[in-house]
Amino acid sequence: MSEGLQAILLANRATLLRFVAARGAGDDAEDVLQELWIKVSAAPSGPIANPLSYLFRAAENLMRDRHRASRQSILRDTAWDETNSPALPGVSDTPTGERVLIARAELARIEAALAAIGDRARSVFRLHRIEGLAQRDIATRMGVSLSTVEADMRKAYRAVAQAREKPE
Amino acid sequence: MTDRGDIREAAINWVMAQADPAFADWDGFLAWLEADPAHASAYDAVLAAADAAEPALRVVPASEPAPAKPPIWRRQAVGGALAAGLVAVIGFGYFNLRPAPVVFETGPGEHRTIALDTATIALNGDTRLVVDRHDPHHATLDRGEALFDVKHDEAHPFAVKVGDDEVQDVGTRFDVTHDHTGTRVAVAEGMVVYNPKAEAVRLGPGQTLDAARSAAELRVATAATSDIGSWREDRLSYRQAPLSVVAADLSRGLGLPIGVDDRIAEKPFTGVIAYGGDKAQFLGRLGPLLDVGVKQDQGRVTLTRRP
Repeated sequence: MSEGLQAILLANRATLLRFVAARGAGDDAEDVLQELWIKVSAAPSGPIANPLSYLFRAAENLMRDRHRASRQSILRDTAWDETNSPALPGVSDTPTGERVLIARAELARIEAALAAIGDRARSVFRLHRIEGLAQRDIATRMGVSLSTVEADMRKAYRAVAQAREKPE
Repeated sequence: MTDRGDIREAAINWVMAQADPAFADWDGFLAWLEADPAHASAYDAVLAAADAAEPALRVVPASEPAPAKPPIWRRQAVGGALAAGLVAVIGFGYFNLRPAPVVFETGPGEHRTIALDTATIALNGDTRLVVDRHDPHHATLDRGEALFDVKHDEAHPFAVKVGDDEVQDVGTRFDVTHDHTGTRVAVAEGMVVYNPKAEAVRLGPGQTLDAARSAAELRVATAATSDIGSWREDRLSYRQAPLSVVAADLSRGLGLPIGVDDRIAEKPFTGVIAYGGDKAQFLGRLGPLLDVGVKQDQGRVTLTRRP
């Protein structure tokens, strides 16, 4: 199966390259495709309904990891750091004072923004982001309609994005 | 609404659409990204903000209704392509093949979920788990507690090393705790084998195994399967558990060291403890709940005999 994926990757190489470039890979676009190739080669065999969509998804995940890693190298090991990179044994995690202050201020803004959107929207967002529930499952769990969940989720994304952007 | 606001709304729409594992409009997404470099920045800003909000979201407000049953984790639709990066996706092919262990560590009170190709693992607070990049079928729990949701693979059972012991499973969900009181295993679904090369104790759904440091023999008991892993909901459930175990679990969950007076360490507790919400209030209620005294001294909490 992974051979099949590799063939599809080769056939769509140009498009995928454009995709990772547009997602901000810059000069590293070729490297990202190389990573994608390695990942696809190591992928477990099994039927994949839409192989091209699978490749895009894998590329998107790679780009998310890269962006997350670069954010972490800027604000490394701050208090709220949710790292997905390997921790280095024996290396101190202690953040520098200034970084902690910036991190705390941002987290405080985000906390305030989450408090402002109301308990239900905050719960919806938590169930989605932390528990990993799909919108439909959140609707069932909370006994509200799917459109309510969608609206709450949009509200929450908007609130945290605004809070992170505005430094006051 | 400003242009900037419009772009952000569009970015949020794309982020939300991609949370659906069936999302397939990659051409549309690519076209949107290529239309204006500001689009990609806005999209990344939304993802970054959602990531940054995680610690704030992990604090569960007391007003949130308890779920009727523990959440069923959404399995990945395809291979390593997890829906929308809800949790950190660690594909073993993502990294250079350097021989190095990957260490996942949580601080006290912190929860984290990691997704391997072979299993999804939820880490409780104050927990250290090591996975081998080259062998996704092994994990080592150095300390703390983790809930494993393992994909069924008869040919390659998933094994968790805990101290000198091993827990081996073939497609299931189970919880492993390793702390100063000993090692505990609880199975929610499927079957695991404890120390397959030694005692080889088989545990089925609803069975728990307690390898207490203070005891020479292993103790097998039962638990409600819906209670296994309920620490992710800030809820703990016990049947005749020694207070030393309760205190160790609470320390991890609350992120606060809770000791027990030796004289009551073995006192059994049966009941459910929900510890979300305000810590001070919770500690105020803890004494009557456990039928013990609660002594607080410079941030250290000790359970004592009832005054």
